[in-house]
Amino acid sequence: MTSARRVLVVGAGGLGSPVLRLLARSGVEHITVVDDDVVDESNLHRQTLYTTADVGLSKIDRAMRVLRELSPALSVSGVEGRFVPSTAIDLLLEHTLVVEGADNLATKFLVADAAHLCGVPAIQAGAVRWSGWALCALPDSACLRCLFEDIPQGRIETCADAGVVGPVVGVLGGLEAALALRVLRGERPGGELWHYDALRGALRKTFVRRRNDCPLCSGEIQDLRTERYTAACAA
Amino acid sequence: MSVTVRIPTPLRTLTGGADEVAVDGATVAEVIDHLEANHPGMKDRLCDEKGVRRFVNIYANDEDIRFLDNLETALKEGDTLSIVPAIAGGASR
Repeated sequence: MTSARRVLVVGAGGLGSPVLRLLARSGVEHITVVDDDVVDESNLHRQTLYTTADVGLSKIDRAMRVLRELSPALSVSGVEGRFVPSTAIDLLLEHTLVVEGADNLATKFLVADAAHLCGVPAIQAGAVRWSGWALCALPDSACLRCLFEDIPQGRIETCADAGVVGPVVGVLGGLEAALALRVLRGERPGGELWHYDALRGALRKTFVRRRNDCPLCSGEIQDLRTERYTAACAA
Repeated sequence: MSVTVRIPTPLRTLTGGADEVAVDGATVAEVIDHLEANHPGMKDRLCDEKGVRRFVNIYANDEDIRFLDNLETALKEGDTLSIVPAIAGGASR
């Protein structure tokens, strides 16, 4: 049964670290964390949930331990693995909202699609180098596909190959947590798109409108067929 | 007529690191053409044969040009164009 404040966090890395820390003590009743990776020393500058002692250990195990230490009353569970189409719907239906901090666009679009199909608000973000964005998508507002249409192929930088500055994901993760808490308290920030550019010292908010030809909002996408995500990844 | 174009970090390799450039043009299309002339390679990063690439957003001031006149959106002196590309990043994988 879905209670009022159950949050699914996809990715326990650079974005997920501040999201998890901030939500843990903000009145959220339950957090489920999804990640398939281990702690890597090269990521510690931005993955602030972890220490050098955690290197090589499961991020899910470490993240759950940190969350329990931060907030003993918080209910926490972990899913060690990737967020995939076969389990996405069931996971979403158990939660009030999803906060996404994945580092690949296929997962971002999968989260957007699954959340929309389940009627669950999605808070999403992306960051590379010195800048990034954060978006709030409510079931009746613009979604990630209204903004970027489909999974880009080629020429897209990810933090895995271009890197990302630690404070950038810190700020964007903080923005995601703020958007999540606003949704949980009944506000409707759907369509808000925040842009952060650390080099310019600029934080800006714009508003994404729903596109009539958005395949998700128009109902064209009605399932999570795996090839929609894997084909783009393989391209 | 000069407008200011905000360049996102992934495209700053084409502008010598500049985060903002002043470009002439009365429409978004003209600005992109001038951007290409001054910073070769830019147009290909922003547009394909159908228009603006689907994973790139261009805002005229704070409005998505898809809700205006797309590449034919008229600009006036002092306007700002912002380019917002799709980027991933957060977890380590």
